[in-house]
Amino acid sequence: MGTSFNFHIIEDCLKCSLREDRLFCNLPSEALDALQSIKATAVYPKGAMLCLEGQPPRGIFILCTGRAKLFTTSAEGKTMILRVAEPGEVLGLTAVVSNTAYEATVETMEPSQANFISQAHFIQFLQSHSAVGVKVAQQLTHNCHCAYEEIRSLALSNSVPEKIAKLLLSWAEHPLMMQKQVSGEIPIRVTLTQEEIAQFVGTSRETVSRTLGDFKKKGWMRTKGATWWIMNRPALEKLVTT
Amino acid sequence: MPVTVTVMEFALYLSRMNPISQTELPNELYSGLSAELVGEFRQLEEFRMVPSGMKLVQLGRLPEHLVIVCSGRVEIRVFSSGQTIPLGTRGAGKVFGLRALISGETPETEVICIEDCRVILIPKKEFLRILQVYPQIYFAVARIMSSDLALAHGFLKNSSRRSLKPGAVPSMNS
Repeated sequence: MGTSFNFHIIEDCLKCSLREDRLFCNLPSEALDALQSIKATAVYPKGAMLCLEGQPPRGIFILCTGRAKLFTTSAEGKTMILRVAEPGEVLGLTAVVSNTAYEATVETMEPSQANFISQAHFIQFLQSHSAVGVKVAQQLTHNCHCAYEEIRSLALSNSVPEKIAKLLLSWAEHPLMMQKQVSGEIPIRVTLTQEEIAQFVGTSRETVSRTLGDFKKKGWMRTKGATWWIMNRPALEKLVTT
Repeated sequence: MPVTVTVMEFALYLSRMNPISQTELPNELYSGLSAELVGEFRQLEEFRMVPSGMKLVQLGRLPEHLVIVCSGRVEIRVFSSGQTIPLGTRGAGKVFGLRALISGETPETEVICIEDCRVILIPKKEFLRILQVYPQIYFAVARIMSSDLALAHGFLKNSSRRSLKPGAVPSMNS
């Protein structure tokens, strides 16, 4: 494991201590050997574009560390964030297996490491290891589930405060582990800017700013940099269900 | 009184009635598989006529078969608090039930016939057995799942994220 600027680079998938927690990487050693021989590891700064919407498929990216947003642009030029990919996810899968253009742009939200596998190598890898096939199916199942969730939430959420409350509650499912924790408060790490939150819920940055300000005024949340605290979860839940 | 039938109508009637001609139609699963593998699946095929209005895949209910549409059209729907959201329609060649069969999770979508459909059923147990023996099928599986995902993403892209009122949902047809 190499290190640079406190960023740990994982060169060898076989020695990666994180792989058991990952959606895709926890493969049998024989498949990991094959993966090691076909992947190219690279580290990307925040804001790097891994692939562009509409670009012919070159290959897939396995996100080792960091997070990346998947976004698409509508015919009207509106940017919409489809989802945020977590470490261990495979990106560009749909385009590579169906040999169609990438359907979303993938941009890193923080310094990230990704393993790139070319289209030809990946298809061969998929066809020769059933464990890889299972993982690919799991990843696509996860992606479909996320997309259906998003469609369902479109039908449910009508107001912007409701949508933002829903987003905060979904982040609260994975609270930040802090040494000093105030009882009843849920700390979360938010790496999305207000502009990105606006792209996520389909509104303007100004409306997001106003809504968050309103939540703070009501004592439902507080923020300090990228750390936010949800102080009144029941109030947010009530807003979502009403 | 004699009934006049044109050659085209008779050909259409034959194509609907003759299961052998239907199996020759390409579908998402068989295209890209070797002749040997397609042969394995063909031995397991069961044909059914499903009338319009019947469900091929039911929400929350694990399917017992993989379903391949040979003719007719179906609609794919998602539900949200009693609201029906039609994602789009599909026709011959589309495969359904795959995600639920492989993951063991109940379907999140419903597939309903909007025309009388002729379908091929492949029993779940047999399909999973063949899948274990031939990992190359996973490539076809990934392509089918990718096409489902593309439908959902296309829907999201074409929908206004500001509001999605019942009845105002854009539908994407293939």
